[in-house]
Amino acid sequence: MRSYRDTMEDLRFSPEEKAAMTQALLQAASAPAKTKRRKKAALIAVAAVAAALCAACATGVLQDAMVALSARFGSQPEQVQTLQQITHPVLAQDTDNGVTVSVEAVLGDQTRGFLLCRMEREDGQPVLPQNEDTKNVSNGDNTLLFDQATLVGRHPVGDKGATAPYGIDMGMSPEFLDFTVDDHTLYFFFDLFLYAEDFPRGDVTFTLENLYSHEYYETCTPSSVITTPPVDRIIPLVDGTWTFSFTLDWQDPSTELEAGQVFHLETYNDIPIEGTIQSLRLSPITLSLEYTYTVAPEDLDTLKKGYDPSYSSWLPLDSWLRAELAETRMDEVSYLTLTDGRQIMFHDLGHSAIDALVDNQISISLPFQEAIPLDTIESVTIGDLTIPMP
Amino acid sequence: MRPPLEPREAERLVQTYADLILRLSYTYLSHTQDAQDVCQTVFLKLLERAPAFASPDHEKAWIIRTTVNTCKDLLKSHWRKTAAPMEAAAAIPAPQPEDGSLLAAVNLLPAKYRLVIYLYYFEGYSAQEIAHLLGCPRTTVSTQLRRGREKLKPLLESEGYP
Repeated sequence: MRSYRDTMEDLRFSPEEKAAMTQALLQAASAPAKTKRRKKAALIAVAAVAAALCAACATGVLQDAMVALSARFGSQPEQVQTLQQITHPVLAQDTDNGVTVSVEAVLGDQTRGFLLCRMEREDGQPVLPQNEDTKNVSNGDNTLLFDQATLVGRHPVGDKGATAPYGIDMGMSPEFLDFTVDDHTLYFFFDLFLYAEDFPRGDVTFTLENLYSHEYYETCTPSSVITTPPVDRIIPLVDGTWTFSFTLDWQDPSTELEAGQVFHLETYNDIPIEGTIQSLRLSPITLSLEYTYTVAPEDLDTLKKGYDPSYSSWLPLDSWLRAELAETRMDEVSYLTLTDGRQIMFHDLGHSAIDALVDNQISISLPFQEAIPLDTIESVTIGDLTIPMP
Repeated sequence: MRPPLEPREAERLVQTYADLILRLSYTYLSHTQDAQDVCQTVFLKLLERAPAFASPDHEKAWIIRTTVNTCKDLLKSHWRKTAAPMEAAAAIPAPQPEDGSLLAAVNLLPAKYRLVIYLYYFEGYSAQEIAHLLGCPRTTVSTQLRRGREKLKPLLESEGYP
């Protein structure tokens, strides 16, 4: 039987194919203008669709925001139309140190809130400093972060309308729309992903401070021997403190699907589980699922044999079991069926976040990489269960 | 403005990285049909952005990260109508894993697990390096490696991996 290494090493292009690829690369590299025109044409098309669909776009500001959101969430006309329906302009602005940051728009559902922001210099120069340190800064190569990114407001407590102060540290790096180091406008997003009860609503204060880049890499040989100390440096980009006050609220665009049905799945340890849907909600940007589950006693005993007692000081058996039973093949066997017959697997929709803090209960939030209009969805299949859209 | 590409440099890029991109594409997409498109896209991005690399390993890390992002873009293209196929050679035949082989077992894992297994066991990156390559927390990579190893343990051991 061939080994994994031998099989992968044998997976290679032939010399003839490589020669053809080299020629194709030289041809493509000699025609840069054509590529730029196609990209610009796509953005113009999105802007035209956004303008046609949006009554508020006359100001031009929200139209720019829609172009940015479409670049992030999809630019097909039906996607742009959906984004229009669920996007609310904010247009809060602050200027410090010659740099203006705007919170352009928000969109969200019960568990996911998306803030679109824009950064520009008042003098019209490129946003990022143009020097030796920053010339390689790009989306993907470097991690762009803010020293501070906090959202403070109030969130609901109980079911009698009471609220309590609540703050969110959004210090994880925001997501920047593709840029080059000499761009005059940078768009970035904060993707807030919380439980419904944790979401602040109403009047909020949003603070950003000091944008920088974290560059980190190590050099090593294929045998993982580190040959030099890692490069780990901070590159200051834009210093300043920007504070915004605005109202964070939106109508939840989610649809609730029928609950109470039973489905069957296996975990990655091949343990069969029987799940009962407690709640299934779909919005154009998120799928939220809560289910309870049962496991046959003999299967649970089999699973427990895999527990390493040396874990007990930091991971008790019951916590380990909850974690193991949460790792199911859900993403591989579950999908959306669209009205045109296409199926989109969960693992193609996005990366699930799984909460298994309660015995025999799982909460899954699946943020979509692209917006999916709800009227294009026929049904949701979870394991062996298919639930039609209402 | 993209700098002019010298034939020798084009050949170096293809000779050095085409096979790596092919293996990454196969690992992530589970097929090889789009491998040549992915190669072309990655190399053109390299030419357009023209980053300066501190070392060959830095360049390789950039290639890996860009290839993964390009594969993710391909998977997101369910909204795009099927494009006309490129006028290129037929796709590279994908490996045919034998029943019970390590490759067959790896192919049953989700894409993100397959990628981490490939980068760790075939390319020799550490969990920290893989986290940086893929832009995700180190704990995520460690968990994916641990779960992958648990699933593949007997097969990994039979092929001499720790």
